[in-house]
Amino acid sequence: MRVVNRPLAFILAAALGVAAVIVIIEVIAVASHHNPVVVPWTTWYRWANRTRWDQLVIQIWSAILIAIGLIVLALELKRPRVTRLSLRSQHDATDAAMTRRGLAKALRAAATGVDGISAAAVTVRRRRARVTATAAARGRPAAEALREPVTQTVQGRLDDMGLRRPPSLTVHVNTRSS
Amino acid sequence: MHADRANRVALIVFGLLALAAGAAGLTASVGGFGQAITHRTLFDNVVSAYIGHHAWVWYAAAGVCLIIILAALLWIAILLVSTDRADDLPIPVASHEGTTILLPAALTGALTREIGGYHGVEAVRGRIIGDADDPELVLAVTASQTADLHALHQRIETEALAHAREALGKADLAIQLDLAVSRLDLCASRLRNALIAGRPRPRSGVRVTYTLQLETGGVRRWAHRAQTRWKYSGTYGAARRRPTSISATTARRRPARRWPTRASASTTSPAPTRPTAAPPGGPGWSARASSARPAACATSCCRRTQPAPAEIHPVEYPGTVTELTQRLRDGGYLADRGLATTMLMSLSLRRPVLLEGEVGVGKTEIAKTLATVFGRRLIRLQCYEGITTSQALYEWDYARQMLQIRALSAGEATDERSVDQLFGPKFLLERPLLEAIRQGDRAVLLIDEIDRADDEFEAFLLEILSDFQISIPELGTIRAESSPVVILTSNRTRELHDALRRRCLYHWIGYPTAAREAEIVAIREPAAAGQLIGKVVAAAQRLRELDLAKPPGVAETIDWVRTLGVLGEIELTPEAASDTLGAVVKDRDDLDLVRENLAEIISGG
Repeated sequence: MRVVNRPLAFILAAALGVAAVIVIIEVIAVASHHNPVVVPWTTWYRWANRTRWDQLVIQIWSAILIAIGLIVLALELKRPRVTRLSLRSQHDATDAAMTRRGLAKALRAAATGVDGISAAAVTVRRRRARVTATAAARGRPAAEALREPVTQTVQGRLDDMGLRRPPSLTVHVNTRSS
Repeated sequence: MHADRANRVALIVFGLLALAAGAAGLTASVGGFGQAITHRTLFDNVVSAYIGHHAWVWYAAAGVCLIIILAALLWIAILLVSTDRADDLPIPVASHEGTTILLPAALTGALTREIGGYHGVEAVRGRIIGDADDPELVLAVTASQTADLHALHQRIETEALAHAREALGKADLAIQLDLAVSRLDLCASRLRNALIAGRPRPRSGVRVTYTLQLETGGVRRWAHRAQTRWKYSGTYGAARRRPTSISATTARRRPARRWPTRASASTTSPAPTRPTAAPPGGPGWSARASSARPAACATSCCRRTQPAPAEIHPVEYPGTVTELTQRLRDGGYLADRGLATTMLMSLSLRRPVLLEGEVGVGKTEIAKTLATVFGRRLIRLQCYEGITTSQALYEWDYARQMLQIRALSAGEATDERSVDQLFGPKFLLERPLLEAIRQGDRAVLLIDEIDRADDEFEAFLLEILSDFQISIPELGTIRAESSPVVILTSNRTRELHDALRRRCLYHWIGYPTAAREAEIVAIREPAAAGQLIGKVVAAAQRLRELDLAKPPGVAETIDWVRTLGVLGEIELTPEAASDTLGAVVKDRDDLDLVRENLAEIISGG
């Protein structure tokens, strides 16, 4: 969220500042009986004086504004993806947690540590962890045989971490494609 | 943090304004505010007319814009330079002592160093945020994939974080601890998997067991390079056609390692369903890949080569004497309050215990029971006259070294690295003390009958018990991550030095009272009849009152009851006692003396 918000905020602040500077410059220019200095506002004024509310251009700009507003609101109000999973702590003032990526790496290492598993992909969410392991051997029976040891190993690793609310585990074992 | 919150609020306001403006425009355009407005131009309204007739509005707008410019500049400044880091932290001291300030960097630096030294930790970052009067410590710890994350978390909380709170004098210091996991070991795992996947395939119907010996590397690029070279340089394909011994090494020579490691894994290949390449030429297939590795990885990899139990979790030792007594009782050991208190102090303070007492009163047994009830590994060093440090610490496997030298000579591989490997962990035979140092608090070290060892060996033990570290010239210093539970026993055949006594907690285990001894025997021999136990214990107590060269201990009493049980005796008759005296009296003169007084001993007269 921070990665998105900071550039957006910078752009918005810069745009506001530039617009305010332009307004001040043009007000001073009008007060001193000069022509538009920075932006052709007289042309815009004439366009606004002859454009009616029911014209298509107004509807297009309104739709654009609605879209921008919805996108920004959706970005800001969306529930952020969990980045930390709380660990059981001994002290009330300690907020200990395992990072989501860290947990995924640990589970992935546990899965790939099982003999016969050549690779594993792990997705960790707030309440669910999904491990997709790839068996080195070909054939469905080999993959099925590895499912139980992989599940036990990964579940054991998960249980050992002392998470306050451990996510439920789903394990899939695939065979190599070729 | 506050800048991020301000950003979010401002962006929400902006989104709402944009949404409201767009919705109003669209509503006006489709006639939502009445058809009259729909047909008007944009500036054909009251507000525009008022602004057109009053020039001051523009000057007011300019003033508002000035405020907006200042606000925008402030916002940008906050975005670019603001920080949530705390200033110098005041330490509470007495008023006459002046003012003491703790630099946040000093605290985080100390924490980083402390946690960085823990087993399994690869990186630590720390910062202190918030107000100086109410700071919050934020720690990010990266552990290796093989680390016991729960144990590491517990250790950080109980040690490092407690130290931080103590240093600041704030028992309720808010701390955010983020544990992450490194990717380093994953590379070794990938390399291992790549090698397993690329192994030669046997013919149909042939079952071959492959042994993959992999010297793991911690630095990612090396592992990648080794893997890449293996897969794409042509060796991989060649391996499948020419199933002989194959090696994959990194592209260039690496610097010498202080503590190289080996991890072994074996896999059994099921018979494939279709015939593939030619069968392996040898009994197995081996591949070696090695790379430089950081120290943090070394220890974790080393652990895999140890014959330790696969899973030993950190334990919570009991907090009270009563709890410890109960745990020991559950393990079949009946400790009196004095012994239980000493053991509790030893577990809490991590100090060795010196147990002295007569033979057979349970000095050795308590170490076994502790190891059993707390799931630790019992490492026993039996002392004897003439024991040397090498027999207690480590030895080099000379026979294997000789074989290796011959193999190297035959292969003309006498480069420096091969020679260095001769004094690597592969040829190191760990003896009890080194094993205990490696295991740390996962072990109970029993140094049995220390009084039988020589003075020199006792002096050597002082160093070990002080620092729990040893220096192996060829490999470097090995330090215990945490002290093991150490129990020394002595039968007082000679006086131990004061220096050794000072390093230990001391407890004398005497003979128990009759009631307690009966209770001990009942726990150890639950099948024995209570009446028999009572009589045997009474007899044993009377035997100790005689002037015997070797008075019987509790162990002998238990043996006596057990022996009588084996013979099917339910009563301690003179005949049964005479037949089984060998279980309790272990000296010829003592035997004669006891036989003379047997009736008295048994009857209690």
